[in-house]
Amino acid sequence: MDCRKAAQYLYEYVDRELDGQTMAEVEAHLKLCSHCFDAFDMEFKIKELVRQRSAASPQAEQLKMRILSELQAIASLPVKTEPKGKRIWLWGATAAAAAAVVLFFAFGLPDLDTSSDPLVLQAAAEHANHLAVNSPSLPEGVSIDSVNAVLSSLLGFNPEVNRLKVSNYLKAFHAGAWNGKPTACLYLAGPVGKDFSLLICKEPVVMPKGEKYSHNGKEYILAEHKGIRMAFWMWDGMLCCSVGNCSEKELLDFTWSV
Amino acid sequence: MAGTDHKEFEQLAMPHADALLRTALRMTRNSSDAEDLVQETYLKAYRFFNRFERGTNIRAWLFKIMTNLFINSYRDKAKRPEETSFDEMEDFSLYSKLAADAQKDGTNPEKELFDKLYGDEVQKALDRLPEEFRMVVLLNFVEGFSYQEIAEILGIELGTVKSRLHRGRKLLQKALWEFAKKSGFAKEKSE
Repeated sequence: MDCRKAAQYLYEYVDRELDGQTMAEVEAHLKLCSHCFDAFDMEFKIKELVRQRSAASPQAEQLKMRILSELQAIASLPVKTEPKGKRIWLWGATAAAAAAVVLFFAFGLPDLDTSSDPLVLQAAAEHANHLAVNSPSLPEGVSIDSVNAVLSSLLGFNPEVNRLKVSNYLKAFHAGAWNGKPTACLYLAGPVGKDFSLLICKEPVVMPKGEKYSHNGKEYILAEHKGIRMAFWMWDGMLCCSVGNCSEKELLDFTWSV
Repeated sequence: MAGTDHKEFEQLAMPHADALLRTALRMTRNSSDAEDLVQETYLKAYRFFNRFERGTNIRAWLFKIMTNLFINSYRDKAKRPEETSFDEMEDFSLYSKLAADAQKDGTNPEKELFDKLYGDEVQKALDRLPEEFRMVVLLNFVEGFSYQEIAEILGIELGTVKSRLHRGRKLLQKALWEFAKKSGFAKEKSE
């Protein structure tokens, strides 16, 4: 074997992909030719360098624990999940800007402003308040798959439809009851570091009357209850409501980014 | 899933979490995405564990699930650093660059080069590889998968694995050379 032939086998030799016969021929050449030996050696060294410097991450242990508890949780599905613990939701320094998004499933809702329901306003506002101070959640690291499992068993939600959208933001999740209705609540990370939440409720709710507002080509209805601003809008056949104790503009920018 | 299967899954699959995370980090180039990706991989594997053929390579099976997930849901999210372009894809060889230096001044540039390359520079060089090359380099260099296994994991032809690995190597060497140059090594040498 000459240098040119050996060079052709360089990578496959380094990657141990050659058959025994060819391997032996390459090795015989390397014993005779120091130039080729050095070139081959260099490839080994680069490969080894990359391998060594791609060490496992120190987060791996923590992640493994999270996955294991996740698997345990799934193993015991289907569940009527009740909040497993309480923890204080940290709203960060700009607490005033934190928003809560409440998303209602509204099946067969004719259009945006059919009738008014002050109870919806009140309940949404109270829920936003409740979230801000006292947010029950599942343990850290709940994944979109377990959320989807609960959503579909509890609400008949089709996870495939909104999967990516939600999974991009999901931080925590709990399922339970709100106003006596089966409800799932997703805690999402806002794209600008602000957290908010989505409440998904199976029961249809009606759209409250309010001031119409156009923003980024979408139509919203703005409402306010006890100082908390709300914006209602239709998205993907659902009636949604974002709730937050922030400015109108912030609320709508935030809403738009969801 | 029955209790015995649950245990079996844990025993077979969990030992590969470190490797999956290591590769996920270099795929997504972002640690929180990497963790999500690995977690999703496990949940998916768990759900489809009945489809796993007992006795075959579970490591390759897990990597296949992960790379599919990555391609389908994470790829667009992954922010792209400046990637090494291969339009000027001359046949770059770190060996010949270094050999030329060695002839010029009789030093051992190879040792100096490797000393200059710290862990994060090697990672940065990897991160700069365009995705299709980065994947095969990771799977082969770091995870030690054979060409055939990589072809199955990525669902591509064996020949494609070889050519991507070939180009990936050239690009990686070029990127390493550029990092070494930046850290002053090659500059000293060329003056």
